[in-house]
Amino acid sequence: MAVFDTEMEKLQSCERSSRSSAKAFGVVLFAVAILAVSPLLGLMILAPSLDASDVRTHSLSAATIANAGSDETVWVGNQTLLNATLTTSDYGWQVLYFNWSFEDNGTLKRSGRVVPYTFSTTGIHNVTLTVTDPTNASLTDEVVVTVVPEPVTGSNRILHEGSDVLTITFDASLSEPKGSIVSYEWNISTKAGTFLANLSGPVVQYSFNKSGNYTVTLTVTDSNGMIASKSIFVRVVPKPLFIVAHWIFTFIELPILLIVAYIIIGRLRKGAGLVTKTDVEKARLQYKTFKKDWKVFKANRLGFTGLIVLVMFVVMAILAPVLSTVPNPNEHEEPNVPDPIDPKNLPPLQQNPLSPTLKKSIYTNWTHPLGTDHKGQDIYSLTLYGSRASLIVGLVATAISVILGALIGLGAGYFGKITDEVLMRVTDFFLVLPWFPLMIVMMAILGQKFLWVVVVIGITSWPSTARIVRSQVLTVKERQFIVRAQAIGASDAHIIKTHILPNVLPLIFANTVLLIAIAIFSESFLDFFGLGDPNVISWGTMLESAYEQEAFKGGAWWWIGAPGVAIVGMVLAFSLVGYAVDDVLNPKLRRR
Amino acid sequence: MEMRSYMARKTLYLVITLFAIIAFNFFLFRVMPGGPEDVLVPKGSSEFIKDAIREKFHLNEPYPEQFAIYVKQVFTLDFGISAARWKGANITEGLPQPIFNTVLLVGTGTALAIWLGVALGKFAAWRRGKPADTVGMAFALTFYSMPTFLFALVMLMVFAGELKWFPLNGAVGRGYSDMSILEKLASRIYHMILPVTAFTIEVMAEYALIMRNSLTDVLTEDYIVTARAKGLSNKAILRDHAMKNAMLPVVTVAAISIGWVLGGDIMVELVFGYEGLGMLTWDAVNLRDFPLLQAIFLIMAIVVLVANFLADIIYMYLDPRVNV
Repeated sequence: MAVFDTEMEKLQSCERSSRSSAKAFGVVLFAVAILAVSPLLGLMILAPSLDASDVRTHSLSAATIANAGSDETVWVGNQTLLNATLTTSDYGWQVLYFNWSFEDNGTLKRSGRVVPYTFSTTGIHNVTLTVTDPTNASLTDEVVVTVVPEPVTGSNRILHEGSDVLTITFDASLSEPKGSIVSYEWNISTKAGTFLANLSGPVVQYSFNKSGNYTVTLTVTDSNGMIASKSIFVRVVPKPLFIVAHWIFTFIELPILLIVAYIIIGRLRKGAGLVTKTDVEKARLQYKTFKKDWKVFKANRLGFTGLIVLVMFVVMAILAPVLSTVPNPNEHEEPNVPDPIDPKNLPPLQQNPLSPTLKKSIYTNWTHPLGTDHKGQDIYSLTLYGSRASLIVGLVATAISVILGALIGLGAGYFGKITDEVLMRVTDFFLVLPWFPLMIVMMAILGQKFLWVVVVIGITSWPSTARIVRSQVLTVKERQFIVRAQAIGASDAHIIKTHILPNVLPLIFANTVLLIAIAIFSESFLDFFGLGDPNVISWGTMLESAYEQEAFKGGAWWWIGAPGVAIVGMVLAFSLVGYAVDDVLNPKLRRR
Repeated sequence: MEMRSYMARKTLYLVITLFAIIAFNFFLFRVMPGGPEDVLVPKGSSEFIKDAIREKFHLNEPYPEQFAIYVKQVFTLDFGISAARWKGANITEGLPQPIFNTVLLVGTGTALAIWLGVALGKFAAWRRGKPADTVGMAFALTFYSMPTFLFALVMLMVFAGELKWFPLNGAVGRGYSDMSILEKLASRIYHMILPVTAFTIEVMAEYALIMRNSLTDVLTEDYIVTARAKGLSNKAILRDHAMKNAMLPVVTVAAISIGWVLGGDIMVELVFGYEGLGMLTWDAVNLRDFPLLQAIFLIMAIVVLVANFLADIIYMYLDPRVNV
């Protein structure tokens, strides 16, 4: 403002001093011009470093330093960015010439302030930058770009101890530049740094036997004497417990085998032969009853429909690899669209170019008859494989709960008195516990393993079975033949085994089928809650990811619909069969 | 007199079970693999919160003393410190709002479900074997077999995602605290319509099925034939003779299925992002906030226990023959 004021005074004094109009006109013009540029002038005067000549010519002053960037080391085949900067202000980039010269299969020249270049030969490259202004004054700077061969080591691995792939082949033959690499050195050590082995050659093998974390470093040297190295990590996971790794075998197949073996050995020891006449007669009678029951069951149309649906689901589960359209649905296809718009900015469903599917082109080739999810996984195949998880959970969890419930119910009903009181109070206690929240809490503490899903569902659903078994045992216990067996001195174990169990088990069969429905229901709930095993394909997990990816906003109905219909279908089928079986086995209800 | 002793026995069981639940809840979080230090003290949180939790639950002392302190804390409504959801704040302070939201949702939903379910069951049972019965039961059976979250998802997709009639999530609208009372009410109702509908239809299906089965049973009894022979109107038979007996199983099952109802509530809250206890459970599980999870589970278990107790009392009034 001070500058401006003095100008105004000058102007006024000029006006006062001149009388001639022509002169005055020129002075006014001058004054206006001064007025207009005065703030700018003032600024220029105030800014000490800026030379007026600099603005005019954009020449390089003595104080300017050109910088060609910092020295760097790049892998061969990777782009280098040659980037020049000047220490003084950015005035006049446009009128300065930036020239780069370097050796790469002969002398090359490039011009421009920023030059991307990919070196084709390894070695140390001196790059010279020359900056020239219109007055031919110039500055130079040098940058050293070291181009080294690129080792190709493979990717990080996780190995499972006990599996047969502990010996890994490392293949570095794809290392760049191909053909000119003289030596390959592999250094294998633990992550802590303990040296284990040194290997050489483009392709080597090493066995990781102990669990732990390993670092594998590849060092390559090429014909120009350039050296480069790269590391990968190998993790060997400890061997899982046999029970956990083969839990289906441990908990289902082994007990069945043991029971069969027990029966066979028992018979052989008695010396009566494996199949006696009584067995044949028994089987004939059982077949007859079964045929009668089957007739009743077939007459129940809803139950029969349920059975057909169930058989379809079982076929689906067994033949899933044959029926599915992609080999491994849990592995998603890589989208082969080159670099789409930044996926983070897209709404979730559109993140993958394969996602909004049910498009004609994908529909007609039948690879994705029901579309895909956000990762490009095929919904149809996932739904097929999902039936496996549901069936396994339904059957195994129910087996656990029936065994537990039957044992407790038998104990309470048969022994009565204080045993009954204690066991029933415990049962009542578990019956009162809200079991959905209980399952959530137990899963949250135990961690997301498929085995735990099964076990948790099994051990939270036994109380109702225990109550039913107890009430059945109570009625059977009072029957004449039990009293007679007791009178002739039969042991409790014998009575339970030969008289009570055969009379009670058929009656709880209907309840068991209904329990399966509830177990499947619970499993889908746990999965949807985010507590299912992420490595197991199941309908609940599919629905969870659909919800997480906000499929409901994008209208991806197939993603919710396919697993949804499957869950409802299976639960409904089990329920219908359960009601029908109840109808067959408890004739009292048939008059309804 | 007998009624009084029955009440006394039920109350005694209530108290014993209450202590059992507290003990169960105490040990559930301590006997699991890793022990209390691993489960209750979250790994990712700050040392400050970790120390606060250790001190609050007295994790350094032997179990019997810990348990005594825990029981005392529960009875003074002190549920400890949240590890992650409310980062070090008292759980007790944060709970009233979600509990209020849940009670609103479950209360409205259950009342509607019982009313509609009983009506539907009655309707179907009276027309047993006719198309109305088949359609009604097919409807009920389908919804009974359908996980609540699935139905809720479909509703969310159709009414909130596609048609945009209702909000996608939340229990109340934005800027709720600045609203006038009427606006608050409107905002609540607007946000509650979808969750309550989903919840009601799912729970209703169960009541309808039980009601229908129990009523068809009752309608084949001899005293119904007698009533008919007396020349009573259908309405009178249904109201005075059939319904009174048919309601008994509904009450029993209603009591047993409260655990189910809570599960349904959690699913509905989760899908609709309704900030109640279910949503809080989900947060607690995801953030591995086990002190909070422990408090929620305790509250749910006690609520179910008390509801069962009330159902027993109601049953006693409905059926004076009861003599357990």
